[in-house]
Amino acid sequence: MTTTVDTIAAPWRKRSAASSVGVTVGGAALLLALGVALLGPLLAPFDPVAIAGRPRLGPSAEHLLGTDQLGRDLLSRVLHGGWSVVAVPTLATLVAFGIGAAIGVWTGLAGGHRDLVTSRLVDVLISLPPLLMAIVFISAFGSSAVVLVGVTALFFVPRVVRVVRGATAAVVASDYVAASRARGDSTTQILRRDVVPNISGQLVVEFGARLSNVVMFVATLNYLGLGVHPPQPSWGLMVAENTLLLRTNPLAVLVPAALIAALAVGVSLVSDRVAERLAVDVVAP
Amino acid sequence: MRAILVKALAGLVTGLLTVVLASMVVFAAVEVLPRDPARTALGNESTEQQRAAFREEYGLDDPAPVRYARWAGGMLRGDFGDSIISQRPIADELWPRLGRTALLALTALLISVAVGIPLAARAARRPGGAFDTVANLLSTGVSAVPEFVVGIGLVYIFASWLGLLPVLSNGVDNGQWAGLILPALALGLAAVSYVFRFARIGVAETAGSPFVRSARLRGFSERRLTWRHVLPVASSAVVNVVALNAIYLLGGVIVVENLFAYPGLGTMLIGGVRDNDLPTIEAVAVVTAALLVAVNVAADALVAVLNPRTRQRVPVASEAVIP
Repeated sequence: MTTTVDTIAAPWRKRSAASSVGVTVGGAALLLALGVALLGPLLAPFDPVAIAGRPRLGPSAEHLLGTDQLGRDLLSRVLHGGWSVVAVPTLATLVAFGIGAAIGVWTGLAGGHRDLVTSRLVDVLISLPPLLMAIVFISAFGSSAVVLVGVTALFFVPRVVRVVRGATAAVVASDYVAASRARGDSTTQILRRDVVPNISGQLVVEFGARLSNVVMFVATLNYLGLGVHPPQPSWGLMVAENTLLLRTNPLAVLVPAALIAALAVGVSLVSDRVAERLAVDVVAP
Repeated sequence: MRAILVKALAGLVTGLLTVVLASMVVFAAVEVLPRDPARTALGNESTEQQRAAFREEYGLDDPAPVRYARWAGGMLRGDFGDSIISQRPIADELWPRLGRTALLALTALLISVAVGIPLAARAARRPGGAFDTVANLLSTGVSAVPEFVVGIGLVYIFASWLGLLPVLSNGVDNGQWAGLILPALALGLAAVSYVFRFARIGVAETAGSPFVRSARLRGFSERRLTWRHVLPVASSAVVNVVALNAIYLLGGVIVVENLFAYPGLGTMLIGGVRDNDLPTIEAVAVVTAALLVAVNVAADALVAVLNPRTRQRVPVASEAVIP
């Protein structure tokens, strides 16, 4: 009996050792990035858009990261610049998820021709490259937080629909839903008692995976100058603005770049861990 | 064989539909907001008469479907219209840039396969071992970092710090090929993690299958097993993943080109966005979407050719008896 447990547990323990390193690193990175983004504005020594000294100063006691091309304090810009990189992706993912999950559950439940039409439509929409389409949309509509959230949500909705529809359809095809139907349960009751509890794990996993995609997506749009308007600070935009300082004051670029990396990697590693946990829970009763 | 042809044809039709849809979405996005291209081209000092003449010349007063048909028809003949800024045909600039973008993407692809496959083969030898664990963590990490962050890191190390390679790649069209290395590396690194992860799964699955076990029992070396037996079968998984992630790689191309000022489609697109040059944006977007579809169709064909199970006309079982 003990040997059986050992052979089953061994690969699991190995994987869990690897992923616990991942979740520790990821969690620390995520906390760091979120801390800077959310608490930073309270700690900034200077106004992030005001000229605080001579341009292109190196790091000093007064300006810990130096100043940029215009003489703005880089530390203050870093401390203020995380807000948009955290808030826009979170909001966009929530919107995409709300709409996508509703459509996904609805088509999964409805089945038949509605399901077929929606699925084909989703296939076609997914084949459109998101970054390319976002660039076209933003250049047509101008960039603002609303456009950014809307465009991002628009191109991630079909991806959410596909996953949620699949999960829902699998539940709907099961015997216990057939039993509920035979018992005369209404669709609302089936939805509440059978569908939602059984797909919630997959929903959480999908949310984490999407969030990490969207963080990268929004940071990239920011970097290309399609997100926040100058002179407002944003980590992605700061990397682009200060590229010319890379030789004289590398911190001006490397700090915002590292914070974006910390945020993106943190979200990804933590959501991987959550996915693994949920999968383990499902397998082991 | 016929099944493969039918599948390829279906893929081609879906691909064409995608390009048509992309062109419609692009056209519609630009249409939604009221704007006056005549004012953009001629400036605010132009008279109403001049603007009317401009609109007349370019047919801007026609209804939208007519203009779409004219625009799409022009693109089919290779005529993408004129840039609002330079007043020169967009096609003249677009084709050389398309070639350079293709060169960059192919170089990056080569790097990612050359690095990703051996890593995957090594990691899959002992799933869950130390090498596998470290490689997995690294690939999760790298794949979650936006391409421009990876690129900035490379610029810092190889250009600013070591001073080995040029920062900017705008000399590539004058034969300064060293400028190709950093952008290709940045893009390739982003793709390595995709190739690694999926190749690893493919290799691990194949390595556990009966034909590999029987080859091992015949006493073939591990090296020969990996390169002659496992990888050819697992390669279709890799081609598949490259095709699936072509969409994301393409986003990477746009970003990386702008980071290094590489004279390709990505810099042309963002330049068009900065100048508010809508005809250029539309043209580049549609050509890029078409490029993407072509990659997908080609990858599907390659998968069919690479996979021994779809390539061989003789059933595998009948051959297995002979040796």
